[in-house]
Amino acid sequence: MNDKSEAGGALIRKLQIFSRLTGSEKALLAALTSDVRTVAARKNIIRDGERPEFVHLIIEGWAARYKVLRDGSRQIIAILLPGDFCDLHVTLLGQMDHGIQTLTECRIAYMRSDDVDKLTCDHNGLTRALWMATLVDESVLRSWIVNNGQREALGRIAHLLCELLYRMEILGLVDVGRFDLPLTQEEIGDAVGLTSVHTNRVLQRLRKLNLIKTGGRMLTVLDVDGLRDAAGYDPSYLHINRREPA
Amino acid sequence: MPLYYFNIYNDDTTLDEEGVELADEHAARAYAVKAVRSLASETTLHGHLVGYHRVEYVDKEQNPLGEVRFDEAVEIT
Repeated sequence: MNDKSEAGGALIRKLQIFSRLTGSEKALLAALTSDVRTVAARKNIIRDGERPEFVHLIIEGWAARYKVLRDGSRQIIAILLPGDFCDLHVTLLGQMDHGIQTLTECRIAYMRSDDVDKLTCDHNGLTRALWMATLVDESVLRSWIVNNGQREALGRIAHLLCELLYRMEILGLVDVGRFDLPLTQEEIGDAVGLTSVHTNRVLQRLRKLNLIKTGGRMLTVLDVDGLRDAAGYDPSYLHINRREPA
Repeated sequence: MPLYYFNIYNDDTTLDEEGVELADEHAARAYAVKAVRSLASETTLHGHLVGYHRVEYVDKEQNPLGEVRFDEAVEIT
């Protein structure tokens, strides 16, 4: 499969969770995502304050949305997986209010924001699907606020791991509870507001509770119910069963 | 920047296999203090703090450089 159809495919799969797309809408999305570039791991795709001319869509690999504090510490505010938009809102807001960095090598579709803007003016169905994608991003962000504000360390990390398990499962990237988790302890810590040392301690506890197994850059969830229980995890906020009525 | 590793000795032993890149040994100690305070804050939420629990920091060759006990990372008056 060439880059063009693969990139369009990732986006179409994602949006079809929310809305039935017509053949012509799918063709438009495929055309919009024809400029696919490879970005190395741990590079900025876009920085806080920039006025980007492109909307970026992850086709392959992992990236993170983040903000940096004055003392240099970093808060990761979302993990972006294949099919996720990095910065759809800049088509309307114009300026980035946070940065986005690759966590692994990524293949990213660069869509001209003018083209995305035009698309949303001309096609109600697609606009609705893009809106849904944005609403789900917001829902995920709400759950992260609750997670980091209210749960203790073990629950926070368990919640993050549950979320990644469910989202990777939607992408068909989980094999009997096992999936690629290319995050360092420091990055997990940055996502849940803990030091890397504290994160290491919590991962050890989750291993000793026989909830997870780690090895290399792979994570195996040994006991999904146990991990969900530790996190108080309810995946409804991902809205993965939300589909347009026929 | 050099890598430093932070091993935790509290109710269990947790060895650090990833490490953190930091400017120098001084920064490594500061990082250990921050880590200890974070760990201690969690036990404090549960109503206890064990003073002799500690975080040891070592270099890439596993040479011990120092340690921070939970009771030296917080000032109690």
